[in-house]
This record gives sequence, C-alpha cells and structure tokens, in this order.
Amino acid sequence: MAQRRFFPGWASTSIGGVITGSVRTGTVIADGPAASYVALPEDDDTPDLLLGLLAPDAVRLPIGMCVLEGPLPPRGTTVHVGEGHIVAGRHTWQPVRWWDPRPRLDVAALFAHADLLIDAVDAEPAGSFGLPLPVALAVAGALAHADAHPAYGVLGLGPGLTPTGDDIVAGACAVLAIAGRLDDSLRAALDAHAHTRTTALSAALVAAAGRGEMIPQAARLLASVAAGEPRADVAAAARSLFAVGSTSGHDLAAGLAGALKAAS
Amino acid sequence: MTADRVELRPGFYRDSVTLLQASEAIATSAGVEAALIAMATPLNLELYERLAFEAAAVASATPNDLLIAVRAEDEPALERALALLEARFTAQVAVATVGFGVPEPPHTTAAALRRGGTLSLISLPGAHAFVEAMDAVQAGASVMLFSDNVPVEQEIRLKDEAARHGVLVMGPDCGTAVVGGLGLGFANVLRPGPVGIVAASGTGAQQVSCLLDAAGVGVTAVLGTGGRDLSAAVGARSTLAAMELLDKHPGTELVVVLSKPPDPKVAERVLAAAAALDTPALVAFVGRGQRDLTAVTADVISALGRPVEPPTEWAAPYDRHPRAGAIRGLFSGGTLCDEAMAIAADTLGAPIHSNTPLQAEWQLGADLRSRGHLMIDFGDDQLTQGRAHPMIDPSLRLERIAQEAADPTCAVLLLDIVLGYGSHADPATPFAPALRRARELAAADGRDLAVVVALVGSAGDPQGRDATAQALVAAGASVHLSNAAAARVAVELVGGADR
Repeated sequence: MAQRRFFPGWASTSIGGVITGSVRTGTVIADGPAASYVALPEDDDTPDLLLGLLAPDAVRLPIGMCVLEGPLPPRGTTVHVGEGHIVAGRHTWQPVRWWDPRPRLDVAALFAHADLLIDAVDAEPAGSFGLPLPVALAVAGALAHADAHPAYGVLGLGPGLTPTGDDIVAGACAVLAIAGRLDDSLRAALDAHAHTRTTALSAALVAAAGRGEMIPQAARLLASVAAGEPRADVAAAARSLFAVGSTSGHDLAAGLAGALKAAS
Repeated sequence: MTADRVELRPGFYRDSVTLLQASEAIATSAGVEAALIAMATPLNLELYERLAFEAAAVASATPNDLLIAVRAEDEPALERALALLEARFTAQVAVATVGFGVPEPPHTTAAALRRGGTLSLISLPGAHAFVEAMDAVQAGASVMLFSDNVPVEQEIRLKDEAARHGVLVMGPDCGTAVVGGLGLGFANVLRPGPVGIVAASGTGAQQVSCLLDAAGVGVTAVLGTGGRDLSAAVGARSTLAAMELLDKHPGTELVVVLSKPPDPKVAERVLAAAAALDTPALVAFVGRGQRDLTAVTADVISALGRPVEPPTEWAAPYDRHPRAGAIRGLFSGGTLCDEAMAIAADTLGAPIHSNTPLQAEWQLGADLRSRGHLMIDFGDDQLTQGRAHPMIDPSLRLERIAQEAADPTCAVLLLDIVLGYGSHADPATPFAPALRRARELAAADGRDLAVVVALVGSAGDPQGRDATAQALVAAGASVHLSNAAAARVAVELVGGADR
C-alpha cells in the first residue's frame, strides 16, 4: 500500500484559511537560515500574501508555520499552498497543530495596569532600542491618537529584515487592535505605506499587527500586564520579548508601551 | 583613491543581529571608510545617498533586496572587507543549518530549561525518570512523563513539588498530550477546537479526541495525568491542577475529565472540583456499569449543540452470524481493553480473563494461556518492561494472533489499532497479512474466525486512517472507529445480546 508521506508542522491560525483553502501557487521570495518566505500572488493590486516556513527555533511569526523537518525551500522554489498542505518539490508539510497569534485579554485590565509595561521598558538601558526610546514612544503614542505621520517617518528605517521603525509601528498597532482602538482607515493607510516603504516580510507583519496578531513573547507580556502580575513576573515576560532579534524585541515593546500609555 | 562597491542581493535575508554584527565588523576593519549593509528600504536608501555612494547603482532596488555598500581607501582593503562580510554570512549559515541551528545540546534537564522552555518531555526507563522529572519541575517547567514503572511514592513527591512550583506533572505513564499546539507522545492529528481534555487514560483520551475529530469537533488541549492519578494514594493531584489550568484557558469552552473508575473519595473530590469550575465540565469514569467512551463523546458533542452521528465503521466482507467459541481480545491500549472487558462482561455475564482483570478471580496466569473469553492488555507495565510499547512494536500481538488462530475454541479476534504520531508508521502492513493468515488457518480447520478491529485514529493521521481500514477489511476484518462498537460486535458474534 502506497503511503502518503508528509512532515508535520504547526501553524498560526492567521494563515489557516490560506493553508486549508483551495490550492494556490507561489514562490519563495527570500530565504535565510531560520526561515523561508513564500509570496502568493493576489488578484489586482493587493500586495502578495506572505507566509513563512519557520525552523523550530525561529521566532513564531504570526504569518508562519513552524516545521520540524526540512530542508526549508530556497529562494525561487515554486510552492503550492492549499487543501491543508504546503508542497515544495518533494517535500510536503501539513499543519497538525495551530496557535492563535491574537492574545485574548481583558482590555480594561490591560489599560489599568499599563504602568507595569511602561516601567519594564523604562528600566532598559537606552542603547538597547533601535531608535531612542522617547522617539519610539512618541511614534506609538501618535498612532494611539490616530496620527500616522510620525509612523510614516520611521517605516523601513533600520538595517534588518524587520527594520526598527516597523517594529515600533507593529507593536503599537497590535496593542491598539487588541483594544479595538485601531481605526480601519488608519490601518489601511499604514498597510499601503508599509507596502512601498519596507520589506515584504515587515509589511506583512505590520498588517498582521493591525489585526491584533503578534509573536508569542509579546502576547505573553501583555497577558502578564493585563493579569496585574507582580513586577518581577512582568519583568521576566519583558525579558523574553527583549531577547528577540537584536533590537526587534525592544522596539516592539516600546511600540506596545507607547500606544498603551497614550491610549490609557 | 578610494574604492566603492555597491551590490544588491534580491531576497537575501539575514536577521538583524547578523546584519548589525557584519556591518560593525566591516566598518571597523582596516582601511574601510564607510559601510552600509541593510535592506534597501527608502529610508535606508536615503542613508546610502547621504554617504555619497553612487545613486545609479541602486536605481532598481526594492525593499526586499539586501543592499551592501562599502567604501575603502583602496581596492585591497575593499576586497578584504568584502571577504570578511562573506565569511560572516556563511559562518552564520554554517552554524544555523546544522539541525536547523540547534547549538550543542545541554547536558542536564535544568540546563536545557535555562535556555528557555516551559515544558519537558521525559521518556527514560522508569528507574531513571524521577531524577530528571524533579530537575525539570524545580527549574519551573511542567513535565510530561512518558515513562512507566515509576514508583507511586515518587509520583506523589513529584506532583507535590509541581504544586509548589505552579507547574503540572503529566504522568508517569502519560501516553498522550496536546499542549500549546504540540502533540506529545502518542498524538493524533486533531483539529483545533473548543474542548479541553484531562485524562488519566492515554488511549481513552485518544479514543474520545479522535471520535470528536471525526464529528468535526476539535480540542484546545489534551492533558494527561497518568493512570494512577485518581487512586487513593495520589488523590487526583494532577487532574485537579489540570482542570484548573483549562478553566483559566480562554479558548476552552468545555472541560472533559476522563478516568478509569477512581477511588470513591477521590471521585467525589473531582466531581466537586468540576462543579466549581467557571467552564462547563463533563466528568466520565469509564468502567463496568458506566457510560462507554463513545457515549461520553456523544455527550460532549451534544453539550456543544452539535448533531450526534454513529461513528464510522467498515463492515467485514462476510455475514455477521453468531458462532460458537470465545472472544480473544488483544489490546495495546489499557483503557480500550478495560472498556471492551466491561461491555463483554456486562453483556455475556461470563468471566473475561485478563492480565488486568475486572475481577480478581478472572486473573490470567503468568503464561497468559488462553481459557474462555480473554482480553490481554499488551501495554500493561508487566509486558512492556525491556521492550517498546505494543502501539509501536506489534510483534507480541502478531505471535498471539497466530496462536489464537490455531486454537479451536477461539471464535472472534478483537484488536485495537491506534494511529497517530508515535505509533507504528504503517500498522496495516504487519497486521493485515497476519489477520488474513489467521482466518485462512482457521478456515483450513473448518472454522470461520471473525476479526473485529477498533481503529483509533483521525482522518489526518500520517498512517492514513481510511487506507488502513480498507487494508484491514480486505484482510477480512470489520473495522470500527468506536472501540465500544467493536466490542459489541465481538460480543454479538459469540451469541451475546444483539446491539
């Protein structure tokens, strides 16, 4: 009896619809040691839909599926996504578990304990952020007041795959979306801006943040704040977010804190 | 005269740590005057222009390109810097592609947990498991303790220590768990959904979760507690902790607690705790006179307001007429064996001999020799010492199938086959020919040996549930997703009460 062979993965529910929908064909547009990113063309002018195949030790991006066995497909590989599978060459991955990148939080409690997060961010050495902390807090704070212009000024600023400026904007958007305080038109404007001003991956992550989706380290930190946990526990949750990337974790946290402070 | 080099690499992604370190190394290397290594976003291109690199070189740049711009005092310095950059990039890849970037493994459980992680899976021989499990608990991690043969006193100490650290010990002898989206141990491919399961029974949890999956109902988590957790000695320490965890979990809409018949006082405590949860809870103790796992699953489906359909079965390619003789049940799952024994004993009113009997006087001898109706749990501690679990290694059951086929008093073979990760990669390959040979051997002796299989698996399991079922049917078995239904068919085939 011929056996269908496939490798298991665990995927974000954010890309569940794409994986379980009808089959679409895309291309690996970028690869790195810990991830390959697949772009699936959309109709008309909509930006390509991006999803990441992630190594198990990669940060669990909200647009990603972690796979235990590879190899991750290199740039240029044709990839078929749909009907529950991701197929690249002779490899087929199937999500067997899912995680929800949107934390479910008591928003009132999150606002009530906002100081816990601000204090955790304030306690970090100034040099750990990609942009000076006051700038980051101002960008995020402006977004909380529906002013996107400071955000436009930093989208795409910074060297990495997810430039510093984008991490700040994503942090702010995520917390505002979770709180139901991110206006649809503001979100659309940010997405459109990110689409032309930053990397496709980073633009996809800003869009995900606009839906309230975030990496588990950020979700855990917000949950810790919303639960009003002791300062030492909030600090521990913050440390695991700070450990992400070189400055990404710090910049995300600054975005979360700036928006939360301004919206409280 | 200075030398410039500008390069765009489309789709070349390195994380920001690598890029920053590479930039820094280049910028500070001898003879380098300016360097920019960044994604070519508009803002980074502005930086590039401010450094007075040539604008035309990046006219075609998109934000998805890696921009490498280096200026050095002369060509040799430039080449040295670029070689250094490549070395940085390839060094990262070389380290990272070995096993997906896993560094040298840590030497102790606590050391492993210091690198991050909140859950530890321990699958050492029972005699050595306690030390590692305690190490993990004291490092603040929950433990799935797959090992069996762990003394009960050690189990109690572990669970008390876990309570002090606010973590959960699943096990010992915890066969299956789904935690935070990960399947551990023997795990079926289950859809996500609203049901959180706490189970002192691995195969019981697999049966219920697979039947739920077949009915379109998914799970948030399956937390095993170990088969002894509801004994008087252990006092449901892990069950109560797991119920509390699921109660706090926002995605869990219904908590289901499964156990073999517990100590009566412990049962009272569990029922009281279930009633006190904020989340609706359903507690099922499986055993004689109790509802079977399939009925419990139907209760869960009803509680969620979904329609209840009978579980799928694939009929055997011959008539289901009663025949004289005994049932011989050969199980890999303890709870599945217990459930089948309870159904057979209640319906037939005859002793069901076993290595794990319902009544002490039905105990099989150490040689497990057949007499009358018999059901053996091949996953019992006594039979797994020094060998793999029968869900992985079918050899003991295959031998027994041949032995029963040669026994003129054997009328019905009843088996469970459990699918999913961790289980045998393709159970149809050993079992289908063995069952076909058994029927042929019996037929040569003038007997129509019936074969009934309980197939515990989900449609997504890697073995291919439906293909496995079809291969078994082709070998002459009737196949049932419900273990209870399989047991009832077996009973009916030896002339017991009709279904």
